This record gives sequence, structure tokens and C-alpha cells, in this order.
Amino acid sequence: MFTNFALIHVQVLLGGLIWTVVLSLISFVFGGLIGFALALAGVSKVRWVSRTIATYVALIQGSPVLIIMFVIYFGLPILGVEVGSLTAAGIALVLFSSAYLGTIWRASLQSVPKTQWEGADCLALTYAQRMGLVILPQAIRIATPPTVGFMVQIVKNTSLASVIGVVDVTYVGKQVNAATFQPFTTYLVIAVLYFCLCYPLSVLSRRFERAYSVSHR
Amino acid sequence: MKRRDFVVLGLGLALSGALVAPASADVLADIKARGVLKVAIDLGNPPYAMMDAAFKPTGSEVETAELLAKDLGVKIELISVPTSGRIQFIVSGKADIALSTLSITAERLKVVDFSIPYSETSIVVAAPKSAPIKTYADLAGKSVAVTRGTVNDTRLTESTANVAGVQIVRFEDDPTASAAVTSGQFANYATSRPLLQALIKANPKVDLEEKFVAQAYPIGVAIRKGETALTQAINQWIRTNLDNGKLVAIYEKFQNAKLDPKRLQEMDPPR
Repeated sequence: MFTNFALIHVQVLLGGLIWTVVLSLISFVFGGLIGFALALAGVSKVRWVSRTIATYVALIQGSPVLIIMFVIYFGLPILGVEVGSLTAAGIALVLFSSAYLGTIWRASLQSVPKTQWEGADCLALTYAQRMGLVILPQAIRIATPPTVGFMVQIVKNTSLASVIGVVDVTYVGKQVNAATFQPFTTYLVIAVLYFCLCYPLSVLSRRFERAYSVSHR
Repeated sequence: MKRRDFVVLGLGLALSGALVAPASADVLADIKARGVLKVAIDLGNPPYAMMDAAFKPTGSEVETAELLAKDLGVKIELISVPTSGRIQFIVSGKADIALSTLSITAERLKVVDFSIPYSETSIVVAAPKSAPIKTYADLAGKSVAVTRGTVNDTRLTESTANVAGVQIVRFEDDPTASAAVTSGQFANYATSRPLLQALIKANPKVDLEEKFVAQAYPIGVAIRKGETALTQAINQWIRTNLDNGKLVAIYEKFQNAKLDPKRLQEMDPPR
């Protein structure tokens, strides 16, 4: 009745890895878009805007992703809204990553020296010109290491979705483990698969930093 | 704390309070109209429910659920859930029924309804062969692995409440708890007898044997509270299939033990 760890198990784990990648991409793309808007609004001079953003960030950062997932997955149906496990996990991870990326990027914008902002103003640049030509290129260099660090966190945090039934690589891993009773092999393979996702991100980060560090060449 | 911080705190508390009771409907009619029976099942619990060599669901609970769906004249959708989430999936309406080695207990009956028993499980405590363990009291000063939200957990927690120095370590699901035991992290394991036998069969080298049987429990189908039509239909189905021997045959095919329908009736707790 019980089987040894075999090729089929690697295949089903790779099948699970697809959902890990999909969830990570959803978090990167949508979390990044919302996070970018949050960062721009966060440096706004209008008080209520930056305060609203700060409240949103505080609420999301103050609750574990797992609990946000539970609230969306088990809470919304009680209010009459149907959500699938992938949707619930996706929304939770997007909320989570938008709050953190928003903070990382706001801090990066603010750490561009004030003289640069003033210089852009003196040259009578428009908002778009000031941000696009002066501030963002400098902020991106500052933001790259923490952003990539956080992206690697997201890839690993997608494993939480297994608890609400998203069939990601961790979830499949548990079933493989239950079928084979070979935890060491199973989890070692899973660790290798996660590493294969995360390592290229770190490499890319270093390239990116080099490309943007104009003043340090 | 600044005033703004209080506002944030207040918002958080308000959100946590925004919960209302679910609307109830006739789930049996929904199942028929939809043509699909949604079953919450933990597929990491051999030999009740697990993946076979081709990584397809198999086990006595899987076959029972398939037979139920077939007799209702609908297709089956297995919603794979973690051990600790079986009841939640029923309460939140994610699944129509949970058919996943759920022992019928007084605590669970407060949250969900149960069908009459269709199967049974014995919970046991396992430990290394040389360990002199005969009762829960002998676990003094030891650490024990268990799966959260199971009757093993409830019984172990109650029975060792006055035993000195017992460290109970709760895992989220059976595969993780089993992995902790087979990898040697834990010498003592409170689990079900069939799962322990499967584990020992797959890992003959592990120094583990059954020390004592704590209790036998009747297993029922969990259904959301108030779904009388569905509960009655399932009860009738269980009676029929215990009488014609189909459920007994499924149990004996996977469990390597006898199932006595009369004993099941005696084990069923008062509702």
C-alpha cells in the first residue's frame, strides 16, 4: 500500500511548484503596483493622504499573513462572499506585500538627499520629471537590496497558503510525506526546489545594483 | 501612545468584531442541483485517506465518500484539508460534509452535527520498545508528539493535566507529526492505531511500538448544524450500507481488522 519516494513524487512536487510560482508572481506584480502607489502617496505633503497610508500599513503589518488568509478565506463566506483558496491566498499576499513594499520604497524615496529634491525644484522640473529623472533612479539603487530580500520572503511565505488548501509545493510535500513516510528525502527535495526559485532572485539583485550605482563606478 | 495610534488600534478591533452568523439553506437540495458533493478530507492520514503509487487519492474514507456520492447520484469533489481544518471547512460552508476520520465527540457535537457512525478508530500511545509506559501517567517528564485538533490531542491533554512535566507538542497535520516521529525528534507519539501500524510498516527501523489503547471512537460524517435533510439522508445511507456489508468491506480492505456494526451503535454517544 505504501510507496517509496520515486520519480512520480518529484513530478507532483514540480506540479505544486507551479502554484508557488503563480502565487509569488501575483504578489510581486499586484503587491508591487499597489506598493508603488502607496510609496508615492506616502511622501505626499497632504496630511490626510500620508496618514491614511500609514494606518493601512500599520494594520497589515500588525497582523500575520496567515491570519489575513484565514479572515479572507473563512470570514468572507460568512458575509456571503465566495472566495476560492487561491484567490484568498492571492489577496492576502498582495495586501501583505503592498504594505511592506510601500514602506521599503517610501523610505528609499525619503533617503534620497533633500538637496536633490530642492535641486529638481530649482530647475523648474514638473512632478513627473522630478520623480522620473532625479529621485527614482537614485531611490531604486537604495531600494534594490531590501526589495529583493522581501521578494525572497514572499516566495517562502506562499507556503502558508497550503493551510487553506492551495496545492503548492509545501502542500504536495505533506501528501508525499504521508504516502511515503520518508520526510528527509521529501523535505530535502522541497528545500532544493525553493532554493532554485530564490537564488536567481539574489543574483539578479546584484546585477541590478551594479547597473544602477552610477556614482560609484 | 499618540492619538493616531489609538485610531489604528480601534480600527483593528472594529474589524475583528465584524462577524455575523452564516445564512442556512438546504444543503442536500444544493448538492442535487449542483450535481457535485463537496467532501472535506485530510489526504495525509493512511490508511484512511492517502495518495497511492500513482498519486491518486485512496483509502477507506476516500472509497466511502465515493460510494456516498455515487448513491446520491452526483459527482464527487474531494477538498483536501489539513487535519486541524476539517471542522472549519464545514462551518464556513467550503464543503458539504467532512468525511475524514472524524470521531464523534461531545465537544464536536456542539459545533457540527454528526451522522450515525460508519467506521471506528482506536487512539493509542506509542513509545520506544524499552520504555515502561502503560498509562498516560507514565508519560511524566516526557515529550509527546500529537496532531492538533484530533481526539488524540483532546484525550492526551485531559489525561495528562495532572501528570508532572509532560510536554505536549502539537503539529498541524498527521504527515508533519509522523515526520517528527520517524525522524527521531520525538520518541512518544499519541495517534490512531491504523496510522501507527502504517508508519511502523513503512519504517521498520523506527524504535516504536503500541503501548496502550486509550479509547475507541466511533467515526461519523460531519455536517453543518441544522441540515436535517442531509443528515437523515446520510444516516439512512449508512444503515443500508452497513446492512448490505459494503461499508464493512471497505473498512476491512484497508484497515486489516474487523468492523462490527452492532458495536458501532453501542459506541455512538447520546445526542
